[in-house]
Amino acid sequence: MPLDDDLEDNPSLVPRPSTTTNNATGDAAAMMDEVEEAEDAPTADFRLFASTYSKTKNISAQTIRKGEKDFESHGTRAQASALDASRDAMRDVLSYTRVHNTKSASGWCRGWYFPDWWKDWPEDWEQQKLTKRGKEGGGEDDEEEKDRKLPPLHVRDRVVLLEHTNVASQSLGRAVTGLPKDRPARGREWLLPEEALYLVERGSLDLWWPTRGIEEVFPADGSVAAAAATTSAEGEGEQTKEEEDDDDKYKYGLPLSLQAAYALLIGEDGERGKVSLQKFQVFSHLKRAGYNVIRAPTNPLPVQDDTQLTTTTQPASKPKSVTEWLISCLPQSKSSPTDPPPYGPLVPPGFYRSYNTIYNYLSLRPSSCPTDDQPQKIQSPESDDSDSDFDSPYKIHYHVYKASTKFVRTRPPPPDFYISVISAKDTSIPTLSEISSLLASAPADLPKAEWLAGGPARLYARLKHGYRNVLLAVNDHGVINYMRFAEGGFAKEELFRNYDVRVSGGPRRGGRGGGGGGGGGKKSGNNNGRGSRGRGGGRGGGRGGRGGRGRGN
Amino acid sequence: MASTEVDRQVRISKIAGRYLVFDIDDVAYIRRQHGICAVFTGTMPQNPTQNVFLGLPLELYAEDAKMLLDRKVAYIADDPLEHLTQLKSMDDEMRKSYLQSIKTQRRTAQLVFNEAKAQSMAKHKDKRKPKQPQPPVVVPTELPLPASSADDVAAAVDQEEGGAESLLGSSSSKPVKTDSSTPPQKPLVKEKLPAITPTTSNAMISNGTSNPDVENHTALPLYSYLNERGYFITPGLRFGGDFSVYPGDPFRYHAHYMANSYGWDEKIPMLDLVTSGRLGTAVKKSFLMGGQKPATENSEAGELRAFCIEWAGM
Amino acid sequence: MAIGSLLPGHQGKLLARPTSTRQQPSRSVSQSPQTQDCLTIVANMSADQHLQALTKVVLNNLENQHDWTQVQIHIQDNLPRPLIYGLPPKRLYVHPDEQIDIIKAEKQLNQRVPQEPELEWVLPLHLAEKWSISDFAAVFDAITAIPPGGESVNANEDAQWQLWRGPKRGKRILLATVQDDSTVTYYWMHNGLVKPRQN
Repeated sequence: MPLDDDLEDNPSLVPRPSTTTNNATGDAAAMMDEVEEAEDAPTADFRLFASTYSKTKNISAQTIRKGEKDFESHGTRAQASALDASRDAMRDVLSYTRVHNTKSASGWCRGWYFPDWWKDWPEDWEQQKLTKRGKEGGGEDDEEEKDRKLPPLHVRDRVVLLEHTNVASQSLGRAVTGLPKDRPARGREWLLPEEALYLVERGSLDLWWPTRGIEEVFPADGSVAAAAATTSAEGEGEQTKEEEDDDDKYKYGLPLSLQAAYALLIGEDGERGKVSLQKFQVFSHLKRAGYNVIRAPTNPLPVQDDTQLTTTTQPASKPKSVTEWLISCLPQSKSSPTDPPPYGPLVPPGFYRSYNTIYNYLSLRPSSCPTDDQPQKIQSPESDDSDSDFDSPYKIHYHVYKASTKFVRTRPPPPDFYISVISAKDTSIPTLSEISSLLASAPADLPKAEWLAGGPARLYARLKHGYRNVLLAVNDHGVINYMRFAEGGFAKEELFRNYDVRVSGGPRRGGRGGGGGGGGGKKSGNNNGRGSRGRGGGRGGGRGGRGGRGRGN
Repeated sequence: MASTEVDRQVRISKIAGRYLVFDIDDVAYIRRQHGICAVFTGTMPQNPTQNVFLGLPLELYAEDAKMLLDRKVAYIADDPLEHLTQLKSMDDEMRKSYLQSIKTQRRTAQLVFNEAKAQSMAKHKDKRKPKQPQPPVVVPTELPLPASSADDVAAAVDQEEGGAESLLGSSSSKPVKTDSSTPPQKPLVKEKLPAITPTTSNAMISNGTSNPDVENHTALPLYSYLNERGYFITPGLRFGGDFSVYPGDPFRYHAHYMANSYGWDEKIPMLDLVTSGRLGTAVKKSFLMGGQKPATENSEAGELRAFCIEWAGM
Repeated sequence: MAIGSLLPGHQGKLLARPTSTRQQPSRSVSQSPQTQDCLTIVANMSADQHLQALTKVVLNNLENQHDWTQVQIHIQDNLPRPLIYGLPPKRLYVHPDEQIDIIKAEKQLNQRVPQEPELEWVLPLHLAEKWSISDFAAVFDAITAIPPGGESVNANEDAQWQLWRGPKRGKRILLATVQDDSTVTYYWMHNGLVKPRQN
């Protein structure tokens, strides 16, 4: 139930009962009009179960939270009864049992838990495949390219075998190709633990524990023994055959409960075939919101280092006007940022015609500066960067795609977001090296082209967007907050370049400077804490002043 | 807190160091009797595409688990271990009873659906009454086809393996007029029952045999101090504290405090107090800091001191 | 003014100050150098100096920026550092429940109830300091709810709403956090659980 005080009773937040066909798990009523609760039904005992099995009780924010929240208890009966109504509604809704429609072909999706099937699969299988292909030479180039584009399979972690698929599972699950023909369950799709648990929790997957080996349930000839047993058991039959039918139906396995699914699929970070609870909660949270989520490769090398250390000695651009060119021809002083004077002022007293010179004297510290190059490809994990923060929790765990992005499992486009899942209680703010390596493993995500070309007017837009970013999903016992950490390009914004232009009578930019300063006051709401780099700077005041002087000149 | 409920032992599943509750009755009990509301973290199957209302399981703090354990109303169960043990070596007796309970639930589900369908069909029928003669309609046993579509019905009938009978007792496979006044009868023959996924494993595993410890409950003194005074506690991530503290059930009340638990001698930077105080005041809460005096040789664990900080507005 | 790590445990033993004065009190070292290392003396002296400077800043601020009157320094043996107390120009704190009581009383009496200001405790702190729960507990345990000189106000306690101002009310201290640019921000610290104000 929502804990947030800020969430007023907003009717737009009333969750609408989903009417999509992938929820064909046995609720006929969903396809028709809403079922009225039979208040005076003769079958009173079914009322107990009605909510347990029927999906479409009216779930509304109003039922669960009648009226506004109060500041404190008044001890009034109205309050108490409203509270009871909320609690009862909650209980009603949550005692629902997940039902699967076994008849419709598109409805029932069964999965089998085989945790050890891929246990011995080589971990760097994909890498091996690539290098093997590479060795075989030329004609394989196309395939190599295709393979490189495939998202990593994490084969060893796939523990649930899908017997059918339905709409919900179509964006999940992958099959391992290139296997020998006599291998049982060849070509079938397998799910990662978080995918499987999400589908079970959602009511879209019927997870079974096999009591026979995989060769029996899914013989190499491609049939499914269990399915045959099921259909034959459920065909026409007399009541007396029930016992045997049961045996047949359950000959190959047992259906598991949600609790069992959690017990089998949730584990610690790094356990093969399991997923940590925090990661699973973030995964579910994103899936419920409509995103497509896949696991990131485990050990990506940091992206090609496309940042460079820069100091402001480099003349960034050609002189923009004749005056500037003349000034730049004058002899400059000898001191430079790499060789400051041992004593005395950094900026030698004298007569200056150019702000450039002054700021050159002042820039002592090199600063990292992202370049404007196009995003680099993430290199495949060829070498093991073992001295990096191997144990750091700050790694990219998931690639996330917006619902509107066309998503094909086997050829996903570049991700929209990179997510790292962090536990709120156990982790502290990242150190500089942790956040650097985290950001380095995300590719460049440049500000829009019109912002890059927009000059000083788009200064804050560029700074706020940053040049690459990562989302941190902070998980505190089920409550999840997302924070965006971006690499800000402050060093690229050489504000003083514009001062010269104004001073030398260039186009009037004084007003623009003031306007840019005004925009800087707005804070980006999602970045708090001192670890972020993307905050707008505090130079607004200075800029305004500068602009004023320019005007007066 | 005189409990009118039977002596209940709440099962707390410890999975990978996290504490979960899967049984809705347990959840309601600890909420009502022990002031624990915690956080629902599961997808709600009735509406799986939203994040506002979530369902089981409930994730507890380590402090919640320890408190219930100390009050002897709960036990901790190592679920992975117990499940694996049970599944790998299930004896016939247990297997039979488990399958029986599954079957019962499946049957009940079927009956509920049939009743529901009959009702809504009755509604449809009423709506259509004045104009046309009734098109032949049969209640297909294949869900979720809407019964009002004759084509679908025909297709369904064709697909039925002979012998599957409609709910309303007709023995032929031809389309039959429904009689909305006929009460739904119990199916005489076995139908294709829906499959179910029960929420808890209660039918498979009884009271836990494993008894792992509760770890990492460092904030327990402050936690139980607040709980004993009737406050409800939920995760504090939203406001940047350890806990959000409500004067009553979060359903009905706004939080009063954001709370942090500290050690008795733990040095707290003033900047942190100022930050939390300012943030708390901005969201109409007080910042609560609490710590427990360590036990001395003579006495038990010492008193718990709590202080509330708010911006003075001067 | 760079105030380093002030020691909250500092007992002020090196000072012999009269308790009610607002001028800079004279210092006297009461321990002989033989019993203490010279370095410790120097360290204590500078810590003492910092503490004095801190207190002075807060005093100034209260009087001149916030128009407090009757501002005094209060030294006690079991206090980790000297406190300040004084009279703000207007009433500073009304408990939410008291607010309700006042409104009820005003309805009954059909007139406004005068809200006299009360003497308040102030604890000067620097933003760079680190205090623990035990430190704060020591301060609260050492003081009475109402600073000296305030008991005479509202001596009769028949009316319910007047209980809020009597000596039995909950303790509270105004934390005065000083920053290096000499700005002071004030925070209420209440002893125990006190619900937030809802203005």
